[in-house]
Amino acid sequence: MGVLFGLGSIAPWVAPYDPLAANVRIQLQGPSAVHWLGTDELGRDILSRLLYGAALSLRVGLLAVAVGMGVGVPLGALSGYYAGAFDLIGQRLVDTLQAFPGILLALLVAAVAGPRLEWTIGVLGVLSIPVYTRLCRGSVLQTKQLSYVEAARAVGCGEARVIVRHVLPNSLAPVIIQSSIQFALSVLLLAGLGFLGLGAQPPTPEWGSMLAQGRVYMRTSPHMVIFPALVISIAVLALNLVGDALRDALDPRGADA
Amino acid sequence: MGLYLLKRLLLAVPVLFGITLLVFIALRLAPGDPALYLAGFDADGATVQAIRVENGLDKPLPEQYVVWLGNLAHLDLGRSVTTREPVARELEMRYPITFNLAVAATLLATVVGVAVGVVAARFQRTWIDYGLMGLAMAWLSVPNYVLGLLLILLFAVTLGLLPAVGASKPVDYILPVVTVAAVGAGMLARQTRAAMLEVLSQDFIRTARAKGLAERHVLARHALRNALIPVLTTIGVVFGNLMAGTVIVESVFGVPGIGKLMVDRILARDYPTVQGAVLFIACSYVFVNILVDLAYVAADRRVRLS
Repeated sequence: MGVLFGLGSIAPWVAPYDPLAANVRIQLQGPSAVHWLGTDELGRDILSRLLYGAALSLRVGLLAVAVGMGVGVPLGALSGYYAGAFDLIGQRLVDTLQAFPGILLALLVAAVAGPRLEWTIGVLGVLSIPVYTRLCRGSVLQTKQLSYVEAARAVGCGEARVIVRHVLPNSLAPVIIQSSIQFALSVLLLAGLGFLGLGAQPPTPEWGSMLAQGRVYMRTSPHMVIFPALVISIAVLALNLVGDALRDALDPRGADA
Repeated sequence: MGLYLLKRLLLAVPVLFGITLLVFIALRLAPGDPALYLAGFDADGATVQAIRVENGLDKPLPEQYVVWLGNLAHLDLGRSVTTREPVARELEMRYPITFNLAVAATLLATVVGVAVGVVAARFQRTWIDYGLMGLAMAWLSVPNYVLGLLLILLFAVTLGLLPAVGASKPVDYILPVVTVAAVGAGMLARQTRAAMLEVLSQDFIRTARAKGLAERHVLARHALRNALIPVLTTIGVVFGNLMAGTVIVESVFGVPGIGKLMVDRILARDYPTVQGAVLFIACSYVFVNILVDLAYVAADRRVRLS
């Protein structure tokens, strides 16, 4: 995975061709020495498009995680720390959001706002808020009862300082693990929307929309489907494995599960 | 139990209100005048105004929301802009397809997932275990639309064994069901294995083995029964996810369920239908989750109902 997104982040330098350069004379070619993964219906190099697609997925995934964490972590921390009415309202909001299947919200927004990448990133981020809030709230509830937090309060630290300096840093481990999973989910959903024509719009090289284009030429040029399919699957598989490994490493109880 | 049910249902009320509010606001924020959509783009100003008044679109938004909720209570979801049919009727026609697809896929996922999980637990830390868990991880990771396309490529295009699209004959449903079931099977296999391993380490299993029971009986009668309690929850989660998860797969295989209806109408900007479909799926999701919780309580007397 590191390799995949690493290559993606330097796509402009390693990609053998311009991902948008069309050349109909070489359209729909299978893999060859010149075009390793073949060309699409406009004669664009599939390898280059996949690499630029990796860059896009990387960017969208990171931004979505940032949005989700940026809203979810403070919300969860405040909910857990102050409890009471704030907690109750916050948790009901989170319940509502979580009761909404992710793909539905993404589709709804695509329906309303039109397929715009900024909106997609926003939705992917918003979708991960409940997970972060829950996690952070749970671990803050535990951490805030520890004696060193009491000690910090006893020596006269303000509320804000206690939360930011003492409680939060010790509650973040599960949040960080979860981020690899949220990143994978975002990449997956982005490709799903792209596949339906509701994500990134052509000619932007995006994995899901490449898959959708490939579907049209599946009978004659299966490589147009196979390579994007492989890349999406490998990316998500790798992210899931990383998530598993992190969980095992940080949670000795779940070592065998 | 009755009290728990009541409490669980009451908790669902604010969630359902939240969902309706979310859907209502989302579609009111849509660019364009809803009255213009209802009237058609070539209508003149007077007609549009008449339709606006007729549908209450000239009233303030909170009032519109209350009216809309009232209609919703009578299952009146408005009319589709594209077909002019009542949205409720279109949903009624389509939901059995999605429902059957989700049920069939859940059954398949359960059978395959539990079997794989039990076998993997039985042969823990052997190549059988690692192989099966690798497979489960792969099922979990390949997005269903990708799997769908690859299956079409293999079974329809290359081998010519099964139809690629359609939904008229039972055979048309083989590929969609397998596709939709894969993620659930992966989840269930992992969950079953973990639950089995936990149960197998307990004393009563040692007792069962000590009194000379065949391993097969120990697994089936003693271990699996107890391991199934957490697995039951996962089955429910899988089913809930499938009601929403079929959205993309239906489009891949051209299965005319609610998911395909929604995607088609998004592209056609048919807001009332999209609204109805989103509400329908979200509400089924909430109710399935309540049922899952209840089943969990019913299955495990040890769960405290607090």
